[in-house]
Amino acid sequence: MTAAPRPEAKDSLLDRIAGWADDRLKLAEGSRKYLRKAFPGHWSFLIGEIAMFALIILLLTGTFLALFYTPDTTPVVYSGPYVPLQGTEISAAYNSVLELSFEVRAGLLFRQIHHWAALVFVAAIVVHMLRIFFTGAFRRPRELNWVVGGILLLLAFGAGFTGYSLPDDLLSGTGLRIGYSALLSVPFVGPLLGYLGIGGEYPGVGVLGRLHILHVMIIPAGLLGLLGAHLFMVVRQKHTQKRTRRAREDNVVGEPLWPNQALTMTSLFFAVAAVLAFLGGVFEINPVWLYGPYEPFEVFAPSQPDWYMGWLEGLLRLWPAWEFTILGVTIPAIFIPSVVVPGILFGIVFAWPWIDARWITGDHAEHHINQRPRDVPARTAFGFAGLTFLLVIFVAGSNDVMAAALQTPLDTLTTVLRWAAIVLPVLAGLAAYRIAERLNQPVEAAPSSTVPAAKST
Amino acid sequence: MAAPVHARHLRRLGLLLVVLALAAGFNLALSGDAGAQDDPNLDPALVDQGRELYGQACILCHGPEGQGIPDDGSGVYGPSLLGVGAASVDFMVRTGRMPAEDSSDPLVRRPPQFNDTERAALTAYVQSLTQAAIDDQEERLAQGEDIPEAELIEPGPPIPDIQGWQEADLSRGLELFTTNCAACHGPTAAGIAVGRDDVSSNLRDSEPIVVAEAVRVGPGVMPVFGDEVVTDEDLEAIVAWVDDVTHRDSAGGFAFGRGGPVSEGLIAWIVGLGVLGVVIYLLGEREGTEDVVETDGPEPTTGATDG
Repeated sequence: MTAAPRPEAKDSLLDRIAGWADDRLKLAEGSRKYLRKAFPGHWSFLIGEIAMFALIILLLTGTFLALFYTPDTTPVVYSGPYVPLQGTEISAAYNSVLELSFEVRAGLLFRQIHHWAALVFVAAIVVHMLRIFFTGAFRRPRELNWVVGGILLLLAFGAGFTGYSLPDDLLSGTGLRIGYSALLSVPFVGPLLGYLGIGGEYPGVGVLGRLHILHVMIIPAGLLGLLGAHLFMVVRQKHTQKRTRRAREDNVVGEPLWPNQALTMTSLFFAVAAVLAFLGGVFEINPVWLYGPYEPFEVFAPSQPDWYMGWLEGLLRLWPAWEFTILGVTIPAIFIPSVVVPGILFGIVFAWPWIDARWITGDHAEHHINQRPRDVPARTAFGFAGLTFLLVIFVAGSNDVMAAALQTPLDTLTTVLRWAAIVLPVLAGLAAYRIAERLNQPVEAAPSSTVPAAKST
Repeated sequence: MAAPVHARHLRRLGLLLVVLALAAGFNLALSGDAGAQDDPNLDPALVDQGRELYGQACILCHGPEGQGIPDDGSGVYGPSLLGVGAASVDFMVRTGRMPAEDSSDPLVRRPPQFNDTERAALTAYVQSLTQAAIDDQEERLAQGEDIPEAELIEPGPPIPDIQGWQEADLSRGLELFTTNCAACHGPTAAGIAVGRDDVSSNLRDSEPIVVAEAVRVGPGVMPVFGDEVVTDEDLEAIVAWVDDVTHRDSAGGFAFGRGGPVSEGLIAWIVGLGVLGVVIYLLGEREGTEDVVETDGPEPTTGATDG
C-alpha cells in the first residue's frame, strides 16, 4: 500500500562483502558464465558425483580417525574395556584402534562410516566408469580424462588397501602379507622392493608408519589433485550428453549450475552423507576386536579382502601353481596372477580409447553425444566379456565362503570357476553382441541420424 | 560365618541359622556323594539300558562287540568303537551325527535321536565294550601274546570336565583359538570350507561341552588335541572364547552373520550404492523437461574431423 522505497536494501551486507571481494579478486565476470554451465540432467551423470561426495565423507571421517590412530608396532598391554583382550600384549596401533572403537565417543561410528564410505566410493567409481565405457563417453577429445579416471581408480584401490592394513589386527595383517608376497614375487627386484616397502625383513617395524603416510597424505593428495584435473577437464571439454531431441554435437543442453544443479548436488551430498551414516550406525563392519592382534605365524580362513580387491584375490586362488625359471631366476607362481595379469587388465583399460578408435569403431572423429551400448556391438561385447571375467574371478575370491554356503567341495568349485573364467566371458560377449545387433534391427527403419558411424564396421 | 555377628543381638535366630546352614551343607554333601557314584561306567543298570539301545541303533554297522564291520561292498559297514572314548560317543550322539541312516551318510549335525539318559546309557555301554576288550587284551598280553602297538586298545578320551569354563580366561581362549582353531573354523567360529571337500562347523549353536568334546575327539578331518597339547584349563578357555565370540552383542550394529568382507561388500552395493542409485534416479531430470539451458559445445580440437 504505502510505497516505502528502501534503496539501502539493494546494498545489503552480503552485497557489500561480495562487492568488496569482487573488487579485489575480479570473479564476477567469469562466474556468470560458469554459473550458467549446463549439466546434463540424466540421472546416470550423477554416479560420478556419488563417488566425489563419498570421497568428501572419507576425508572428513578420516581426519577424525587420524586424531586417534597411532601407526606404531611397539607392543603394549591392552587394558581397555574389551574383556577378551585385557592383559594381552598387542601393538600400539591395534591398541589405538580398539581405544577408538570402544572408548572414543562416536569413534566406532566414525570408523564404520569411514569403512562403508570406502566401499561405496569404489563401487560408485566402478559404475561411473561402466557408464563412460558403454556410452562411448571416453572418445575423442576425452581420452585423457578416461586415463585420469583410471588412475583415480587405482589410487582408490591403494587408499583402500593401505587403510585395510592399518588396524594391525589378524585380518589386516594377512592382507598385508599377501600384498607383500606379491611385491616379493617381482623377478630380480622383488626382494629389494619388499625391503623398501616395509623397512627391513618381514614383518618389519616401519611398515605401519609407511602405510599410514601413504594412506593419510600421499594417496589423498593424489586423489584430490587428480580429481581436480578430472573436473577441470569436464568443465574445459564440457559434458558429453545423452542423445535427445535438442542435443547436438555443437551444443550442451542441461540444467544450469545455478540454481538447479547446485540444488541437485547439495541434495545428493546430503543423501550420500545420510546413507553412509546409516550404514555406519546400523551395520557392523570389520569388527577388528574379534580377530585379535596380528601374529605373523597365525592365519585364519576365511581371510577376504574388501570387495574391490576380490578379483585380485580370486586370480590368486584360481591361478594354477605354475613356477618356472628364466635366466636362472625363479618366477614365483603368484607373480603372474598378482602382477602380470592385473598389469595387462589395467593396460587394456588405460589404452581403451585408442584400442576402441583403432580396432573397434575405426572412428577417430570428435564426439560429444553419447552412444547407446547397442550402437557399438563389438565394444559392448568386449565390455560384457571383461565384466564377466572380473565377476567370475571376483566370485573365486570368496570360493571358501561359497563352498561352505553351497556345501560343495572347494576343489570342485575351484575347477568349475577356472573353466567359468575362460568360457563364460566368451559366452557373455557373444550374447551381448547378438543382443546389441538384434536391438539395432528396428521394426521400422531408423532415421539416418541415429545410425552411428560405428555401425559400418 | 556371619551367624555369630548376628548372634550378638539375636542369639536364638543365629543359632537357628547355624543349624540350618549345617543341615543344608550336610544335605548337599550327601547328594554330591550320590552324584559321584553315578559314574556311568559303574552303573550296571545304565549299561543294560545302553546295550538295548545299541542293539537297536548301532549294532548293524558297528558290530555286536563294537569291533566294527569292514566295508565288503554290502553297503553296511562302520568303524570300530573300541577305544574311541566316552567323549566320542557322547559327541556323536549328542549332535545327532550318530546314529546315521546308513553307512554312507555324511558325518553332519542332525537333530539328536536320544535323550540325555539314553545317551549316557549308550556311552556307558560302549565304554563297557572297550573295557571288555582291554581286559581281554591284558589277558592275552599276560599269556605272552605279542600285540602290535598300533592295535593296542586304550580307553580313549573321557568326557572332558569343563565345569569352570564360565570363569576361564577369555584372552587365553582368544589366543588359543586363533592359533589352533581359526585356520579352519574362521575368526568368529562361523565355519568355512576346509581342504578339498570338507566344511568346518559353525560353532554358534554348539553347546560348550560339544566344542570341548570335538577338541578331544577330532571328528571327521579335525585333528585330535589331546590333554598333552591342550590342557583342561586351556580347553575351558577355548570353550569360553567360542561362547563369547558367537554370542557377544555386536558393538557395531547388525552383523549379518559375520560373513566378513564378502557380506560387507554385498551390503555396500545393495544398501549403499543401491539406495543412492534410487536417489540419483529421482534427482535426475526426466527426458523432455524444458527447464534447461543450452550453451555452446566445446571448441573442436584440431583435425577433429579427420576420420
